[in-house]
Amino acid sequence: MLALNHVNIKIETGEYVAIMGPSGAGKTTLLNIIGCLDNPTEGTYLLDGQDISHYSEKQKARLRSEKFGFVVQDFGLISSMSVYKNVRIPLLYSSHKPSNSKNVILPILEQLDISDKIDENVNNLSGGQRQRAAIARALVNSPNIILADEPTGALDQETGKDVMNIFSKLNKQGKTIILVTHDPNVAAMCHRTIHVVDGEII
Amino acid sequence: MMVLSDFFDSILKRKLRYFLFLVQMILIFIIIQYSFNLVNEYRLFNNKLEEVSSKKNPVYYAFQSPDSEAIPECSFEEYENFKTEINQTCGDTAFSFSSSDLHLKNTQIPTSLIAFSDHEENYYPVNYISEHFFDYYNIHASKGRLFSQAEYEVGTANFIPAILGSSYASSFQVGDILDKKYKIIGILAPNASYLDRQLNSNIVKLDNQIILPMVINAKTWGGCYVNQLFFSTNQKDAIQNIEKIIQKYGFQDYSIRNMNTQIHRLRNYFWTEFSFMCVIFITLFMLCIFSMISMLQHLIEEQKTEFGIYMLCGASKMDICIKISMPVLVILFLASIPSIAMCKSIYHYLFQILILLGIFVILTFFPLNYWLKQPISELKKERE
Repeated sequence: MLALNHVNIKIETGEYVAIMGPSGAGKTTLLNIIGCLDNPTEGTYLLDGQDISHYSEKQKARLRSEKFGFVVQDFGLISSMSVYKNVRIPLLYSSHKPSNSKNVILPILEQLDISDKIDENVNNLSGGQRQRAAIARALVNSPNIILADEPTGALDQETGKDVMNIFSKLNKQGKTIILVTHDPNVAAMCHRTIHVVDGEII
Repeated sequence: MMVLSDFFDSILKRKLRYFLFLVQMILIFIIIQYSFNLVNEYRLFNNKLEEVSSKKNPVYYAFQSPDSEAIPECSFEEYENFKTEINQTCGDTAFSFSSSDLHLKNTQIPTSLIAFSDHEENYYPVNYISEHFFDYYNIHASKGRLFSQAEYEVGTANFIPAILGSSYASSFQVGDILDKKYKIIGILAPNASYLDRQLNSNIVKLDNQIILPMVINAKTWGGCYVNQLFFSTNQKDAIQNIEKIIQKYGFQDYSIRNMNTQIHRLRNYFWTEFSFMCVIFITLFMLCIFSMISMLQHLIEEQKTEFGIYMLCGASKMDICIKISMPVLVILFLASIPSIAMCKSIYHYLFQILILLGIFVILTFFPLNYWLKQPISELKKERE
């Protein structure tokens, strides 16, 4: 069974793109392929002009570490860890490990207004704070592309709006944002919307 | 530092499981060490049997039952006559008497060599032997020499000649005097041994023993004790004669065994015991291995979500493999420390390292293989 078929898209640097479509349409598969979490069975994937379709697992892991930041619906935080330790994870696999990770993490948390929660266990945070921690983790390696899978799906409307504002700010700073959403209001805040239905782009 | 702190966090989070893992791993190393000792014991025993059986054929061995309450005692003259009569029948007979009654009060000897202490007095294991004993058991001196014929017969005027087992080599030199009485004339090569009185699967090692001529036994105690004798003959009459001589001198509860028949019987006995132990060890070993593999598999299953998050953040599958196998390797190493510390030679040490790596491969092969087959997107779904 094909999850995606005849998909042909081009996303420019600095774009703010929403991928919309009904459940099972293939949005997450598309995002997984973009984020090097899945391999396309056929076709070509050019990232910064380079064909990465045949990259090894290790090369793709390096791309995930350096080029992408991931934000997911249920936050994807390790519940037994503090905010600091969660945000630190990408640094463990970065080729440029900082000598003091706190010096890197603290300014990002300040930018997202959760610096006072740095040593707090993520279980003790509100939904909005958890999503900010997840965004902080996505930003810690300074990637150019942020991939978000239903980033507002687990949040109330107000908190969801706050999170979208953060994405808008990041986009203004030059980051490429690609997010998957069901919510037309969220998609409306993006510059472009890609509709996926039954594995095809319409 | 970051990687180490992450590693310790991961271990501490599952400390109980890893502790169980460590306990099982220690059990495995005990089993391996025990099996290794068992094999070694068999090898030594087998070598000794072969040495004895190939030397003179057929060799007979007469010994007093260890359960006997009759003291194998005779006067020095009786001993001399007994020896002469038996030698007339069979030639180069050897006698020995093993005991633990040598009391040395003025000599500093490592406490590990003490046989027993009584009223703060230390007693050391001693073997009184006659000529041909070393011959029968193919025992050599690594330093100095063995007893001369004169020393076997009359002793020396000033000092009693003594030969020490190899364990004494680090504390004493040839020429040293123990308690102003015993002069060390030689030190035996390591692993010198003879068959014990019960003729079961054991050998008696002479490494911790002090060897004195049989004649000293008579001089010290005013009489002689003989609880083992060895002789070789091809005549059935000779055996009956020796039986008669033993009875004539009042030695009770003696058995005479043909070494070749006995060797065959003992080998069968040892193999039965050895096979039984192997079955138990292999069963225990397999149970521990299966339990640890399933524990590891369960740990992976439990941490799938966490690993998925790590991979989203840039970890490769190989990074996760290292994350899974690192604690196993550390626990394996910790569990093997006592075994490695007990290694006596570089070969033994290398063997332990090989075992360690072998167990590591066995333990991690299936769980890592299972992990490597998981698609990353599945891990993401797992979380969702």
